[in-house]
Amino acid sequence: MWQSVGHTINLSVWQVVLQVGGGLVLAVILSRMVVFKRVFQTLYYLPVIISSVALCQMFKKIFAVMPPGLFNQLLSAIRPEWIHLEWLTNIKTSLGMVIFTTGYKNVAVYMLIFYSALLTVPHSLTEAARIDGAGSWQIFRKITLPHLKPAMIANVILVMNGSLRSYDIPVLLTAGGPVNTSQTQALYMYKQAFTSMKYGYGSALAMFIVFESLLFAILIQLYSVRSKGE
Amino acid sequence: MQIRRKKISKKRAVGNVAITLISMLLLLIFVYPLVYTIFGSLKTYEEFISSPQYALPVKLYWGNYVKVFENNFFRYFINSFVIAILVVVITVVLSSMVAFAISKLRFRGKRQMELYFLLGLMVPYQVVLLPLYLTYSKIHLLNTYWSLILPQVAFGMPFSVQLFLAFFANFDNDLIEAAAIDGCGISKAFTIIVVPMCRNIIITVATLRAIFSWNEYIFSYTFINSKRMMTVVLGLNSFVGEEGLVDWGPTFAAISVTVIPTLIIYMFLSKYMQAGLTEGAVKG
Repeated sequence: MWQSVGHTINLSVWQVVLQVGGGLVLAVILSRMVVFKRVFQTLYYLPVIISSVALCQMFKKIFAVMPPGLFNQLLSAIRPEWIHLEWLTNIKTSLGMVIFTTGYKNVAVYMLIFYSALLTVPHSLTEAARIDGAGSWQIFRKITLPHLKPAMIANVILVMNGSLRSYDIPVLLTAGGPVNTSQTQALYMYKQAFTSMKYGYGSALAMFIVFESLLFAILIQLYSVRSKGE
Repeated sequence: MQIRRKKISKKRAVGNVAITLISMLLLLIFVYPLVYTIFGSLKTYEEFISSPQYALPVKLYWGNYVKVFENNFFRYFINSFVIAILVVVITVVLSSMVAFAISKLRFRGKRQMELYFLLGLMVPYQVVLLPLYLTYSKIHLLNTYWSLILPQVAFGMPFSVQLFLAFFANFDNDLIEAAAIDGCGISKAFTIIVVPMCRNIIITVATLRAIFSWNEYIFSYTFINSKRMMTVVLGLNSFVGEEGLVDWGPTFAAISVTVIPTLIIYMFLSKYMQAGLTEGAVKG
């Protein structure tokens, strides 16, 4: 059980990095774009509306080994022996693949939230700073980031909440395997409750997940309140 | 001064090129898997073996789609459509009325009711899976449309109510008051005056709910096990399990078939969907 909790925490931390960090980077790129902004924004969002079943089936084929999937064929152009690399069935990479796929599917949601927050940063402030000789990086750190803070906190909470209960992608992509290396706590709970028919234990695990999510939400809120006071 | 300006504009031009290149690369990453899948669905088995994965299909081969629809997919489509439509209708009707009552009417426990719906956002589905499963099996609701519609509506309500609440917060009261003075009842004012003005927010909630319902996996996986009642998402999974392991063409065709309806909805209504998601997230 603790192993699956560890996997989940690992996954959640990575999701914060990938989805909140990646979302922020994407939003900044989007705001700098010169043409076809709307088209790019709409297309980046595609993985979000595809069902996780369809996405996982796609990725299973792309990262397949027998017969070699798209990814390995591309890799073999760099080094021929890389065509046999295993991704989903490898003990070392299975959790990483789950992390990658989850991030890939959801990052655009947080891109959109950051993007709409970026639009609220007053133009006069950045313009004034530029006239005073501030560089782009300085403007971003000192003016844009503080403005994005509420969106940032909301996003971290949303991502944590989503990742702590992640079930779909682990079960569909790797079924928690090989040998439980990508098993999350929600998957463990589901197996205990429905496969082993331990209803009581399963319910206890479900409650554990609820309290864990609440705890993290409260911790993040507390942290944000405290850092605001300083 | 002249030189400096030139330098800045040159720097900016380089930046623009870099941004464009990066955005193209990102586009490739986010869109190519889907394009690859759709192309793959048009290839024959021989093509998969003889030519590299990224090759385009030599000529359009529709046999994979025939295979998909010879399987139960027609039935899965009907199931998913019925469920999605009922979920959307029920959610829109209920959440719009709840939000209207909370934001425009005066009654006891109004604030508590708002909090109650806000709290709904915090409930993870894991908590309800077991109790629902046990209850359903007692009242013989497993393997029915309602076994999926009820939890989907329940889990869709909190977010939809939030969206409607945000909309009603900026809704002008004058019209409703004028109608009330003219002797129009609350329910009549709601259907005749308020609903027509809610067009955009209704489309937003409806598209979001429709797509979530279409893609929903865990409830259907838990509550449905008869082949006749499966949704497209479940059907896709069982189809791949049965036939897709060796021959990839039919798998890609099945994936494409399940994704296309959401793509069509998204193509026309992406504006409404994105508006809803950012709104709800920043508020919640």
